Amino acid sequence: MIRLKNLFGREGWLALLLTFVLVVLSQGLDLRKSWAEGGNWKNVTLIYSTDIKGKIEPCG
Amino acid sequence: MPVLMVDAGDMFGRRNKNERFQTRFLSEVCGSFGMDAIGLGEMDLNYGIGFLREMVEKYELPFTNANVRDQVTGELILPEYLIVEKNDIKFGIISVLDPIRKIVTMSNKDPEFEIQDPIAVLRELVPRVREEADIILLLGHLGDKKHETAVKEVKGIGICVNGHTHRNLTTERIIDDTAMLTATYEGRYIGRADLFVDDKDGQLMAFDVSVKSLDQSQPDSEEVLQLVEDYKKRLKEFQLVKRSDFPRNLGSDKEQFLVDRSCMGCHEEAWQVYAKSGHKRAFVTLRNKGQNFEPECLSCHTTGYMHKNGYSDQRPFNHLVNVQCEACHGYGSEHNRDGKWVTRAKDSCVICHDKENSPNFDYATYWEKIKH
Repeated sequence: MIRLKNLFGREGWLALLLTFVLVVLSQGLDLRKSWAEGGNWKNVTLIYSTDIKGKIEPCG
Repeated sequence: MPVLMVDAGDMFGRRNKNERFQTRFLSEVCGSFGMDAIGLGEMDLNYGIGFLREMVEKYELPFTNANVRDQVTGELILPEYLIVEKNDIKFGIISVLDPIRKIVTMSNKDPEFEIQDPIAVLRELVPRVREEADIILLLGHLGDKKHETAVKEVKGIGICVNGHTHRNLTTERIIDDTAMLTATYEGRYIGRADLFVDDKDGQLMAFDVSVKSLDQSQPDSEEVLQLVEDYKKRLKEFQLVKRSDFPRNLGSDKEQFLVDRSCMGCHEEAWQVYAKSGHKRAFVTLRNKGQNFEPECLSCHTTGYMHKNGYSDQRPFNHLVNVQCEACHGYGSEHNRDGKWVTRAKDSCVICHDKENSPNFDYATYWEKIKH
């Protein structure tokens, strides 16, 4: 157990570091989850053509 | 995934009745796809503004164009731009046509068209459309170099689909901040771009392109195949009807057209005059306009059309192309020697050089070109 009064002792820094790492990891998981859900962008598929010139099938 | 489907122009076929018939079918099928926007190419006016508007209304084809106006009224002939929303992203779709493209229609009743400078039009229009849209999508029918100029000179165009690029296979590139996309020609290929749009400001962040060849490796849609088969039956009936308007019932099946080179042996000087004349190139000029299957045109650009043993597009009569000697002088096997063939030849000129097709015809002037 890490006592509060030792917060800034060696164990305290270790605890702080550990807490910091855990917080970052948890944020990362959240980010990955939000990317999987579409995240900070939206998707559209653009289908495009040009110069069909009345063709419905190639000759021959 | 939401799909935005567009075309950058020249969807319609060449200026003849057969291809107009086919274009009508193509319009029906494309309408069933639920396309979102179609840019205007010069070929889309081949059958006249009336036909285009009929296809727009009947098959819900979403044509748009910002720089082609009716020269008389000054009005744009199509909606100036379209706003299409997909996945909460608003696309402002603008189409422009190169003024160098000459618009020629089959109809004599169409208004003349004025094609305005596309850069000037885009400079004014893009900022205006930006107020309503997140992304500007340009359906350009300008050709490669002019598309480059357009996106460099007019800022704010997010995507440009390049039309009138003929067989250019440069499928995608980026110029400044514009994604340039090309999907080649004649329906042989189709382009797909997966767009990644910033959630916060609606700007295009990235895109992933693939261009698919619509060859035998792609599975056919049974539904569309059936539509095509039905169309081919209608086409055959259409062509039979056309041919029946021009039956091969003149002349005699006992006589033969001997072909121009047969005349050369005895009439070399006359043959040389013919060889240098427009008569010798009559079929090529027709083919260059894509009208070499049109009976109305073939009757005057071939030899012996509507005559027994005269021109047909099927062997062995398909070599009777051009206005050969016998087109005016009659069956070579007959080879009249009593002088009547000269009179017959002179009278035959105005059968083809009529007011509709040859309004400036004057016998004396035209004779000088083929005098023999």
